[in-house]
Amino acid sequence: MYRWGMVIDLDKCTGCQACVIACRQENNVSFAGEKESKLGRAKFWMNLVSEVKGNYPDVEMRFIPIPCMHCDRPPCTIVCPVAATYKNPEGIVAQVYPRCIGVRMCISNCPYSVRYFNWYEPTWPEEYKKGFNPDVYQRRKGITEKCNFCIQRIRKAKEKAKREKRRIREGEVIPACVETCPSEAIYFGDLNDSKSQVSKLSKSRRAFRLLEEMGTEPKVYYLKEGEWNGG
Amino acid sequence: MGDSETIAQRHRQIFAPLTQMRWPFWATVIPLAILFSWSFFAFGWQYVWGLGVTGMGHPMSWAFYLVNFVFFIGISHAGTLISAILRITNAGWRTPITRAAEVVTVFALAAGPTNILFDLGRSIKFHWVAIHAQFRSPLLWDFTCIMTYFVTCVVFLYVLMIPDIALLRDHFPRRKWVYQLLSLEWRGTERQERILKKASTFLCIAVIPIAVSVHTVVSWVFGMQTQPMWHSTIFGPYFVAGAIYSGIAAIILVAAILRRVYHLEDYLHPIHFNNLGLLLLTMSLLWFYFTLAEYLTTFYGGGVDELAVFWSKMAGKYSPLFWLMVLFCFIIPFPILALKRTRTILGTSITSISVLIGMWLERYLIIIPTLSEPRLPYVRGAYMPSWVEWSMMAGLCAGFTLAIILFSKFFPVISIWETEKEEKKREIFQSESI
Amino acid sequence: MKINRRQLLKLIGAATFGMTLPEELLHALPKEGEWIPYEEYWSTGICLQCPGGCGLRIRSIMRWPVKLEGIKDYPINKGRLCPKGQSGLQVLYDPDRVRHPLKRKGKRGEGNWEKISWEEGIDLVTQRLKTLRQEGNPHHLMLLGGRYRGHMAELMARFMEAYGSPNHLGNPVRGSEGILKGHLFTMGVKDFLATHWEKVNYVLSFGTSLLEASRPSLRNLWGYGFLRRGRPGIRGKMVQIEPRFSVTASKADQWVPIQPGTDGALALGIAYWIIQEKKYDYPFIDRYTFGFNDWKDSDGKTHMGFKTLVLKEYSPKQVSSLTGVPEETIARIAQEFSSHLPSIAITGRGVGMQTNGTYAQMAVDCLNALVGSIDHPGGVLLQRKPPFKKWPAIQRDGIAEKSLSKPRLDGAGNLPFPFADEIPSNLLERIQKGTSYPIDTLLLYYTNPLFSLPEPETFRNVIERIPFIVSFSPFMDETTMFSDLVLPDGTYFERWQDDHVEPGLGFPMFGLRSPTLDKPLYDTRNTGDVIIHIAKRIGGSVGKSFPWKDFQEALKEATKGIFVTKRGSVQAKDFDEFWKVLIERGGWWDSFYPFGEWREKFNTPSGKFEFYSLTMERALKEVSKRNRKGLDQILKEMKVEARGDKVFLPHFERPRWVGEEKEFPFYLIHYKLMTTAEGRGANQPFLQEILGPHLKEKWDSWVEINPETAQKMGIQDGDFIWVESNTGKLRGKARVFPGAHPNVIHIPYGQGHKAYGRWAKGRGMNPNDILVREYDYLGGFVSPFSTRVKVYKA
Ligand SMILES: Nc1nc2c(c(=O)[nH]1)N[C@H]1C(S)=C(S)[C@@H](COP(=O)(O)OP(=O)(O)OC[C@H]3O[C@@H](n4cnc5c(=O)[nH]c(N)nc54)[C@H](O)[C@@H]3O)O[C@H]1N2
Ligand SMILES: Nc1nc2c(c(=O)[nH]1)N[C@H]1C(S)=C(S)[C@@H](COP(=O)(O)OP(=O)(O)OC[C@H]3O[C@@H](n4cnc5c(=O)[nH]c(N)nc54)[C@H](O)[C@@H]3O)O[C@H]1N2
Ligand code: SF4
Ligand code: SF4
Ligand code: SF4
Ligand code: SF4
Ligand code: SF4
Ligand SMILES: [Mo]
Repeated sequence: MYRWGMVIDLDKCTGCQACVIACRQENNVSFAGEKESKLGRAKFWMNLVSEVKGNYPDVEMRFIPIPCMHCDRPPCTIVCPVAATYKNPEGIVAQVYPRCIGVRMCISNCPYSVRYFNWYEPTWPEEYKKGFNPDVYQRRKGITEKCNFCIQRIRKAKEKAKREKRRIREGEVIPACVETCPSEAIYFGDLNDSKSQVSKLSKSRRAFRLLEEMGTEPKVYYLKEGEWNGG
Repeated sequence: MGDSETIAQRHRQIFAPLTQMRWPFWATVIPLAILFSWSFFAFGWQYVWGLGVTGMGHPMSWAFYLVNFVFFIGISHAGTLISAILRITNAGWRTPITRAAEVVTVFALAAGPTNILFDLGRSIKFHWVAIHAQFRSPLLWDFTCIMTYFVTCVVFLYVLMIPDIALLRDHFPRRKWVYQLLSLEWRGTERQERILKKASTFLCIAVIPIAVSVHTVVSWVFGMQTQPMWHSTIFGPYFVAGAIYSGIAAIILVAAILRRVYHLEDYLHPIHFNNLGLLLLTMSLLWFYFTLAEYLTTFYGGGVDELAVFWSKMAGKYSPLFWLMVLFCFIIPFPILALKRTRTILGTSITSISVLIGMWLERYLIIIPTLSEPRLPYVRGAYMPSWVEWSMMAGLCAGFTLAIILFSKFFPVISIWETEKEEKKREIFQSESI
Repeated sequence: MKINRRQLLKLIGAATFGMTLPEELLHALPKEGEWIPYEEYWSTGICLQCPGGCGLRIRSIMRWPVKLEGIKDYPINKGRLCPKGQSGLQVLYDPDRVRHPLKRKGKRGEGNWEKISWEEGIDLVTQRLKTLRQEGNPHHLMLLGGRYRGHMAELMARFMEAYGSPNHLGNPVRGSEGILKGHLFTMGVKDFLATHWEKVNYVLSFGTSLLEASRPSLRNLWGYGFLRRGRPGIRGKMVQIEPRFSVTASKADQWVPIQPGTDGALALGIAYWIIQEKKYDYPFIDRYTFGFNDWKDSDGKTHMGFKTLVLKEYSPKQVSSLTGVPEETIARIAQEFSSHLPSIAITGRGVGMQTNGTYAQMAVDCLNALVGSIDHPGGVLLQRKPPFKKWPAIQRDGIAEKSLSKPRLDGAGNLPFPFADEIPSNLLERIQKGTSYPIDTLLLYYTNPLFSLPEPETFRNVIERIPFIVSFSPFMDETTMFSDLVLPDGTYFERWQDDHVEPGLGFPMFGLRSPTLDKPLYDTRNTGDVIIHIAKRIGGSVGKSFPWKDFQEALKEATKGIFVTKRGSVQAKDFDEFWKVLIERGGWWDSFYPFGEWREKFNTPSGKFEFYSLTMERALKEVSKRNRKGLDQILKEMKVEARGDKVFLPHFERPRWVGEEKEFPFYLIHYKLMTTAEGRGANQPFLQEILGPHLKEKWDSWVEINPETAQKMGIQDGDFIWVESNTGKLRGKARVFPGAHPNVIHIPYGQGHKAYGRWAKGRGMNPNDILVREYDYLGGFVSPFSTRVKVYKA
């Protein structure tokens, strides 16, 4: 069984947000527009969050790209009254869009705030619709969505591997955000495979996870030199 | 028990609202009905366009509707519960207020969960909660408990109203068909009386744990979540106490209004308000205790995230609301209720209004600040309810009031048969003592 | 498999709405065997959202591109794309694109257009140009080009020359001329320098916006990651010198705040320490540089060398008081820079585009020379070019010869801008002074001066005097709005074009852009084809200068030069095969880089790196002779303060800020965001929605102000304020930002469009609107960093 995981190296990340856009284009995530953005309704399955502190010239600025952590003990799935979100056998916390009724309990219980709600029907100019990815389910208003580790890419790789009667190889599944990251700061792979890059990096001295103390057991690891005190 | 005519004659005042509909009635009902219907429009608007028409967003994904949900469930708490407790403890003074209390419960219970419907992204799929039920979700526990409570309360109200309905059946030939149906052939025979007594005793006992569980579980919708200042063991009792607090306030207010409007001075005496006021006083102290306990522990041992929420309430952007809440929930009610001189009908009514506002604020302050200060220090939100949410809230309150008014036009708001019984008891007691 | 468009929609329908089963993963593909297969294909292209030139792999479903990735082995981007690259499909599918040729109907700028056919459009231009030539006035044609890529620059230059107009303002490096002029005066090279990220250990960045802009963006983003963790056991260091705490500064190992406009002094201060401590690369300096020590010319006159000047004028103490950088910091940087080899010093517009930019750039170049980091592993590299075949010679007839000798309208090449290649900002003054001849027709290619030039209002005055303006833009930008005829180009997904890569690798490479769609989305045509077409229609020697059917054929001819060398990444038996593979690979490169070709590559009179610029000396003497003016007089006109030998040595000139300090107490400094590039980007909602992550700003622009400064002025975060300069004022949202220099107002570039489609228009502000036009006369460019402003609450 695979256990998909991600590692993001904050020492390499430049805060460029290529991952953010790649994810949106790959997963048909609509833009919200000015008004809706100001209400915090823009959807970023991959979200670059920032923090600025200090006084000139002792200023500190931090960026962290935050996808869904795909928690091994996800607080979001247990609270869903209709099991529209669940952890699949490969550890991906998946979202069954047609089943979601939009109570948003999963949203309020996600400590990482990475679940996004469709406050309105997602809209696109007619022209943009030509660029839809047909592999990805088109969401509608009233349901919740979030990063799913580009499950459509995993599935493709799996089908190919199945046809060729083998396991998925290291590096064969590349989510859109990982594929584009200019500074090669994101890694993806099978945490169960002790030889994979992600499992090695996840055991690195620099590795930590967000809100580790909550016991959610995220499968997204971050790397950072020295003390990390950004929460 | 005398025939219906004499009883009706004797309880003219109780019967009066069932027949009279003068202009004040219409003057109240029509605006309420308009408001109520408006909320249907608002809901339709929201249904068509999506929840985007509210002021919610990311991360403030729960707001007004949830506040109203918790608030109304809270209101629902006191009625049947108090009625049951008073019945079990055989408190004699209870009789004139139990019916009103039960009615408040039933309608509040209808109003509360409706908010969840409003809050759903896809309200049309509401029934999926039952079909695809996933019992690890506290929302499901909620759903179950509230449903049970609701059914019990309706039965409770109804069962204890059967003798009165029979009375009405005999008294209002024109509405006979309804009352006939509802009265279940009540003739006041000894056997029927016995069954009634048994049933009511059973219901009284059953309803108490259910009521407690309901609000505990409502609290768990939050308490089971990992958000700062929600994840707290005190939430169960805190919510129950708060619920009873606001519930009693609602009863007092409804009773005072009914007394005034329907001229029930003969039934509802200052002593009733005094007693309810004392109950309210107890609850206000309890509320204060819990609030103190909750905030003090957070302040003392709270982590960074808890403290962020804590300070946003104490001194941050939510502090005006917080201190208003303290004012309304404690500073105003406590002295008024503590002094016998002010524990009057007017005094308790004012207190009740204050408590209701205060408790609504409390619900608001439990939900909103936490969501606006999530654990990760990066995502921040602000929330401003939209016209749709205000409309829905107004409609809900209008609907709630309307339901009580309409109820009072079809059923007596004071239990006649119980009053009769009381009086009989008193007569016997008096004659015996002579 | 042929599936038409209708079926495609059906397929999307099937993949999105057709499922009701709850348990299966409905967000992904339909269950195996259940989904309708679609035709998917991948093609290549070159991104043009910025000048980076990244290779694109384009995923198309049926006809339509649906996702962009990087070409895996493309050296410049190694399979990666930046956010602008990722949102490229929003350029292709922009609903507000110009979809067919347009002729102006109403008043200029009104936006009232009439749809016309291509024949009609081309006729209109040709007739006009023919008439001009018949009248003997081909020089009345002006071409303003901007973001030229690959052979488009040559094609346009060829057209202007064959046609006979000297008024070609087509500078693809507009906005960074100072950097190039610095390199020219020290090394005689005409390109930007590449960074050898694979080997460098220490990067000293003088305001290079490495992680937000710079060139080539993606290569530098990658380089940063590689510097940090690319080599086991080696962790490079990066130092960012900049007045503002930028994203780059935040990601650097050290940030050195500096007084604006004083980088040249700092560089010389660092040089002082290195010289003083004798930490320079003696063998390199000895053999490959000129003018380090004092020297004697052929007349026996002694000239001052770099060392003497630096030791005399740039002690850390002197430099510290100029720059505000503490002496210890200067010494430490110098010590690290000269010991953590290989180390490099690089710059960006904030340094090279100051009014003293050319000298500042020369000073920074000298740092590289001091530590021998030029054309050396881990140093800055001198860009090698692909061996393209030269196009046949341009034919000029008598008319062309005659009018080509007319003076340029913008005054480039004449005093006070003897070294400028073009200077569009100067047009208004020149016209107002009454130049000898008027402009009759203006062609606009890939540039939007009404948005991107400092004080664009002045350019509007120029435009208003031009009777006929043709724009080739696929977008209704500000300048296109003012044109009379639009002959829309396709987007970069729809045309044949080669694409040089901004120096980033050193070794030669180029990209090939081929149409992704079998035909353009709308009725647009490649401007390259259109120019060839027009030339042929004009006929005569003009037509003969374009012996190709279309631009693709012209490109093929050029690439034959590469084909015959049989080297690099694409080699083939015959040319057709070569061309095919070229399209598949998205370009060609030869990753061999011959380090240390100093003698061949330093194209200076001395054949060496010149601390003392003989290049400049000769050029200025030449100017002096031509104008019959003394050197000092010329220097005065060019506003150079130094005299004597110092003129030819990198030194610190006081930056010229416009606006009295009393009235305008703040410097106005703009910066580029990762999410937009030049005037482009604002028309893409994906980019608008992630615009400024450091302040969580989206869909808007803002004015950064230091918290203490703001407090003193009673300005709160989010308040609206006016920013006013000599030339105008802007209203904007104040953002209190601790990274803002206390004496500086920072406004990001990107917003402030008055046109350019529904998402760009009417949003935020464009700092250009209030920039003054002050020049670096030596470099020959207008400096966008010379404006002082005042701010007050709106
Ligand atoms: N994302 C993006 N990438 C681009 C472009 C783009 O528009 N967007 N444009 C491309 C083009 S055409 C160019 S020319 C390059 C430009 O790339 P750069 O020159 O690297 O970037 P700019 O943001 O223009 O440079 C301005 C920087 O200089 C700083 N600065 C201002 N004054 C001073 C000073 O006195 N001293 C120092 N040390 N720093 C100062 C500013 O704070 C700012 O960070 O980028 C290219 N890449
Ligand atoms: N506000 C602002 N001003 C700037 C800068 C900035 O970042 N912001 N950067 C400065 C710098 S460094 C530079 S180099 C200059 C650059 O400034 P310009 O040379 O003016 O370049 P852009 O502003 O990008 O304008 C390019 C125009 O070309 C058109 N265009 C886009 N795609 C195509 C195409 O495929 N074909 C054709 N034919 N036309 C197309 C668009 O209409 C667009 O407006 O601007 C300088 N001024
Ligand atoms: S693409 Fe890579 S470098 Fe850019 S923000 Fe995302 S993780 Fe960071
Ligand atoms: S990060 Fe949030 S949404 Fe993702 S699995 Fe964890 S709790 Fe669920
Ligand atoms: S929003 Fe959807 S997934 Fe989330 S709890 Fe509600 S039904 Fe479940
Ligand atoms: S893994 Fe896929 S879905 Fe998740 S953030 Fe990356 S691109 Fe988006
Ligand atoms: S760096 Fe420039 S060329 Fe490369 S992907 Fe980004 S926008 Fe495109
Ligand atoms: Mo530029």
